Order: sequence, then structure tokens, then C-alpha cells
Amino acid sequence: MTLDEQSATLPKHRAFSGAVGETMRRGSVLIAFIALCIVFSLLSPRFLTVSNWLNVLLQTATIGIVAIGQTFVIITAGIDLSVGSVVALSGMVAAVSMRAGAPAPVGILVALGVGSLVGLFNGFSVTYLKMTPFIVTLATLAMGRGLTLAVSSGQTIFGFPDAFNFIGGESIAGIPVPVIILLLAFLAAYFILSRTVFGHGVYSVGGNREAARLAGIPTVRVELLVYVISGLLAGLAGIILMGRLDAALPTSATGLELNAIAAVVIGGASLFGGKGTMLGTLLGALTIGVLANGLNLLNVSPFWTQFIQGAVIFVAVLSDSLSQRTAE
Amino acid sequence: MPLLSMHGISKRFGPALALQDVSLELEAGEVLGIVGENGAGKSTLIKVLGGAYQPDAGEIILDGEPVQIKSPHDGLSHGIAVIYQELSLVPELSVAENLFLGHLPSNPLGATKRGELNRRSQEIIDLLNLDVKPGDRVASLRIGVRQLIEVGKALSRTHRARILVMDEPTSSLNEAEVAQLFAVVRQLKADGIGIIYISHYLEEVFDICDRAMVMRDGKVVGVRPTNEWTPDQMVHAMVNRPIEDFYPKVHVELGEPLLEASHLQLQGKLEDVSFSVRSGEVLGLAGLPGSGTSKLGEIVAGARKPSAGSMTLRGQRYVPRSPGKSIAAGVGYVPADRKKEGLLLEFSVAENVTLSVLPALSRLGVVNMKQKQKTAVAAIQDFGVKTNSPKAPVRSLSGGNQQKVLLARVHQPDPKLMVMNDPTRGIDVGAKVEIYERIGEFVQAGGAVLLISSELPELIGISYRIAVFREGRLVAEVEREQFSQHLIISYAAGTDETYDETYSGDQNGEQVGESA
Repeated sequence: MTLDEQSATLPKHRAFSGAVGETMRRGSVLIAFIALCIVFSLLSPRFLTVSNWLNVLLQTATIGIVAIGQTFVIITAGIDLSVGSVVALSGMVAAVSMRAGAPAPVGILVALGVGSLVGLFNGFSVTYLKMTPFIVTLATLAMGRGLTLAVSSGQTIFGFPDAFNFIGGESIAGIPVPVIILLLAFLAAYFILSRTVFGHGVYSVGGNREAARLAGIPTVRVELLVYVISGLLAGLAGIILMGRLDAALPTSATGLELNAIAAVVIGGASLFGGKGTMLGTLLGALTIGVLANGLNLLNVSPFWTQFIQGAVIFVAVLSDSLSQRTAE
Repeated sequence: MPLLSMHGISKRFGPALALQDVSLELEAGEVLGIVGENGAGKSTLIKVLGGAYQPDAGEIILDGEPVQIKSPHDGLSHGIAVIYQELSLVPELSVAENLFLGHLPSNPLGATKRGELNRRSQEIIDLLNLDVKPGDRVASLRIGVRQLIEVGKALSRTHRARILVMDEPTSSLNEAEVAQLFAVVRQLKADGIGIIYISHYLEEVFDICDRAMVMRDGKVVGVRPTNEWTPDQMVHAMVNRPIEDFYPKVHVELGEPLLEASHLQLQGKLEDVSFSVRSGEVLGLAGLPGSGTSKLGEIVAGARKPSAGSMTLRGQRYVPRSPGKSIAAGVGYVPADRKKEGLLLEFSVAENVTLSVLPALSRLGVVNMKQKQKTAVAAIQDFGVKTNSPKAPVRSLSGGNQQKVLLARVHQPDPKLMVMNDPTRGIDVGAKVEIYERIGEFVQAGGAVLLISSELPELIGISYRIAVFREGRLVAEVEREQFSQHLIISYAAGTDETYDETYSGDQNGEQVGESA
């Protein structure tokens, strides 16, 4: 069969099933999320309270911010496994520098700078050294964690300037600062991804790298930048986490990368690239947060919580592969 | 009694009538060519024959017995083998394993009988006259050889194929491989196998087919022995318009030199290439595969850096560091492989069409979405892209329409020079003509085109001058008055007579070109 002719004879049918599959998949995160909320609110009277929801949002802030960065990377068909380590490393370096006398703003800049630098290293390795993202960031995952332990000598560092505690623990008009930061990061990322030339570049690199390059997209710059963004946001998450705990732990955020990737995938992004939205990622992160919160309220054993979270990821990826099949 | 006859076949997909009362007959030892534009119903017809589709009406008669072909597997057991355009070989397996995939000779324990496998594979390899061993990995073979192995697969079955259907078998083959494929076809024909041969290349149909059937809009519009067709009549039957329009000629006064290249060099691929192209001019780049024309196109388009040499564009130094820089400088590029290098297949028509013009549609890096939408809709209309919606994925379009999307994209930043590599590869005649017309309009407006093409009739039909390449060197520049296939081939091949024979299939194509 020539593909050309097949599509010429069946254009309507194909376009239709593709469109329906796409809408269903996009809607499915939202539907799953709402269904989950309904179930939990029926089972637990404490679920649908303002304080519980602020708690969910607060719990989601770190993962959400990291997942936003991860979304850029995954849409280019890349992956950033180093984010958990970067969260810990950037927080720890900031903590160490503040213990040595640096003021809070410098500490914040240090954390963001460390995150960006690791991102730059990842991006450079992927673009100029043409290494596989999975392997590069697996290496920086280990190196980052090692550096964190080395910098802190394996110790937890306590006691930061008030500004940090403000970022991690205070509220503005009743809304916790980390939640405000999450929403601002989301809005900025949403705009960048869907409205800017760079955002279009991110999608096209994931859609077909070589075609994008020949069409004039600066693919190297785009790819480099998505890793820097991912690192920068991991640094931001590091600041929040450390403010919340009022401590920098060398082992904090271990395994965070998996939750962040899960949020992106549940949100409808494809690991093959070219697909994904910020709104989906936010919903994906909230789904994970709601799930953990609701199961906790219902006193489900943490062992089963982990199992159920895994099952949700499985279903999300399954619906992705099913919709892929209808599209083809 | 014919080997196969199909009577009054109709097939409907929703409201679309893909086949309407189609009948054909095929004798043993005959090659029947089927030609038609994309969407004419050729592929649907062979899918009905192969068992992939069930017809809504009509019957299939094999050896005088009416049969129902319920599935492709059923088709195979009736001795009907269809070789699809997309190869179905497993690259990681050996030639022998691919030949017998799904029915490997094995002992009762399920272990493969290596000896028998290799012996039977060797028989098929000999039959195909291939220079491979049964144990060679398919991944290591050239695409043309793989196409022949695909033919071999059809012959390996226990129910050896008696009817072989080939759908565009030569679209990725070079001239020598086509000759080899044709030798195999003639061999199979002599063995009494009936062959249905579908191709976009009319020259091939004239070369290899005994009879040719033309389809248009799901109907048969003519069946005759090949020697009773002329290329003109055949094209006319396919597109329902006269051949004079095939290569539209526009008269353009040539202007100033637009691009001048001097002493371009690419390690081992290009040797001291200098040329210039003037505004209003279509400069054809001719050469056998590997002669360096594609590499030269990539260099001009900024996709590849030359190791030495320089270029000027409208008198200014032109050092393209990336395709993006070239586009900004006014050079557009239509790459040869539209699916791999040209389009984002899963993305919408609108996204594809506007991909190269985003900087112009944006301020401070922010895209004006309304203007983007407007630009996309205008470009789709302007280039006559047939699509249900600007939002439809490019994958859902026919080959000709995909190519128009690519062309529309390249046009959006308003280039002055276009580098086009095989811009009409594998698309139907109607879309070809539209693309030629586009090229004509582009040069009339003062643009210039570097046209790389593997089809000599096309180069001769629309170029003003042809630069002939051989082994990385520009060996001759032929002016329009001297255009002839013979001359260009003799330059391209280095006046080696054996190459003339390889190209002999083009004689009919030449008539198409000259009658234009």
C-alpha cells in the first residue's frame, strides 16, 4: 500500500479518529483528576476543606515546579533524571554559602545558579557531545548527589535567614508562598511553551529534529536551553524545599525525578517527544498530590499508596499508547 | 482462460467511492502496469486483491474459479503476493531468516534447520541474481537489494506466488538497481508468474509492462497493450489534461547573478566547484547518485559546511552557518526526503507551513498567534493544499499535498533562492505540474532555483541551464539549446557506453520531455 493513497482515500476517517483520540487523551487527565476528587470527598469529610487543599498544593509545589522544567525536556524527546539531585545540591550549596555569611538573596542566586549550571552541563553534553540524555542525566544524578554529600560532609545544615523561612513557610493572603511560586512558574512556562518562538522550537525539535533544523529552528540552542530551564527550576524547588524544612538535607528529594517524570507523563506528554502541555503537567502533578493526600486521609498503608501511584502511571502511559494506535 | 480476473469491483469508504466497477484481467506470464494519480484507487484495488479489504461488490476469479480472499494470509495461500512500498523486512535478521520469516524450516522441536534454510535461501538468491549470502544481515544491505529480497520473500512460500503485485517498487532504487529488478521481473514472467506493476514512473511502465491500465477517480479509464499507448495519451488519461501543460514554460529575462560560488570543496565529496545562478534562472544539477549534487545543495542551504571555498549572495559575502541563517539570508531549502528531513508529520498543516517564518510573525520572541493562523490559512489556500482543516496532521495528507505543504513552508520567509532536491519525488502527475508551475512563478518574480533531480526529463523540462557533476566535479554546463538526455548522461557517466544502456529506459521519458 502506498501510505499516500491510503490517506487520500480515507482522509476524513483518519483525521476524525486522530482528533477524537487527542481530545479524549487531553480530557482524560482532567476527568481522572475530577473523578479522584469526587471519590475522596465522598470517602473522607476532611478532603474537601480549604486547609486540606492548601496542604495538597503545598505538597505539590516542589514536584510541580520540577515537573514544569521536565516538561520542556520531555517535549524535545529528552529526559532529565538529574533533577532530584539538583534540588538537593542547589539547596545545600546555598545553605553552605549562607552559613559562611552570605545574605539570603545571594543564597537564592547561588541555588538558582547551581541548578542552571548543572542544566547547562546536561545540555552541553546532549547537544555538543551528542550523548544520550538518559545516560548523561543518569551520570549527573549520581554526581550531583555525590557533590551534595561532599559539600555537606554528609551533615544536615540548619538555620537560615528569615527570607528563606518566608519562602518555605509563610503565606500571602492565606496562600502559602510555595504555592504562589508554583502558580507563577506555571503561568510563565505556559506562556513560553505555547506562545513564543522558543516554545514552538521545543515542540518541533521533539517532532522531528532534523526537519526542524533544516526549517531554520536553532535546534542546538533550543535543546541546550530546555536543560538549563529544567536545572534552574530544580534550583528553585531546592530553595523552597529547604525553606519549608528549615534545613538542607544531603538526602532530600531522592527519587523526586521519578515523580516529576510521572507528573509529565500523566499530563499527556509523550516520551517520544513533540507532545505535551503545561496544563497537563500541572494536572498530572496535582493528581499525584491528591492521590497521596487522599490515600493518607483514608489511612491506606503507605505500601499500598506506592502501589496505587504506580498503577496510575501505568494507566496514563497505556492511554497514551492506545491513542497513539488510533492516530496511526 | 486468464490466470486472474476481477469483475465489477466496487469499494466504498464512508461517503467516498474508492473503487467503482473496476475490472481487470491478468494472464500467466504477463506484466500488467497500473498507473494513476494518488487517490485514483490503485492501492485500494490491490488491497482488495491481496485480501486486506473486502470489496462491496464484484468478484475475483482465479483459474476460472470464483474465490473469496478473506485476509492477506488467505491471499498468500491462493498464491497472491503483494509487495508493499514500505518494506517489511527485519533489519536485524539475516537474509535467509527474512526470506522465510514466519515459516522457517524447523524440526519437530522447533529448532531451525540451518542447512535447509541456507540451501533454499541460496536458491532464491540465485534466482534473483543477488550478490549476497544467506547469512548477511539485512541492515548491512543497500535499500535496492532489500527491495529485491522483498520479492524473494514472495517466492519462498510453500504456496509459491503465482501472482505478484509490486507497488512502487523502484521509488528508492538507483538506475542500476532498477535494471536488476527488471531483470528479475522478466525472469519471473518467463516462469509464468502474472505480475501487476504499479508505478508513478511512466518510463518504467513502458519498459517492463505488456499492458497498461490507467485509473482515475476509482475507475478504469483505459487498458491497452503498452505499445498502443503514447506517454502523452497516458498522462492525459491520468490527469485529464493535455501533455503540453506538463512542463510549463515561462519566458523570463535573466537578471543579475544571485548566487556565485567559487572553488567549493568538501572532503572527498566535492572538488573545486564554481558556478553562478542568475535571478530568473532555474539551474539544474545533474549527476548519478553520489556525484555530489545533493551535498552541494546542502552546502548552499547552510545544512553542511564546505571545507573550502566561498559564496556570494547578491554580491554580499554569504557564509551560511546554519539552515536558519540561510533562511534569514533569503535561501530556502526543499530537502529530498520530505518525511525525514522536511516535515513534522504528526504536527498540523498550519504548524508546518509557518515553521520557518516564526521570527517574522513574532516580536521579542513572542509569536502573534492570530497572524500565524492567518498566514497558515493564506499559505494553504495559495498553494492549493487539500486538507480538511489547517489543524489536520500532515501525516493524513497525500504525498503530493505533503510536498505542497513543504513548498509553502519554504516560501513563507520570501526566499530569493531556492535549493530543491527532488521536489517531485514519488508524487502524482497533477501535483508535479502544480509544483513546476510554482517554480515558474518563483523565477518570474525574480527568484532563482537550484534544482537537483534524479529525473532527467524533469531537469530538461524546466531548467535553463544544466550543470553536470561526476564524482564531485562539475564536468560540464549545458545550455538549453543543447539539452539532450544522451549528452547529459555521457557527461554524468564519463562517456562510458555501459551507462547509456543503464539509462536506456529513459528513451520514452525523453519523448515526454521534448514534446513539452
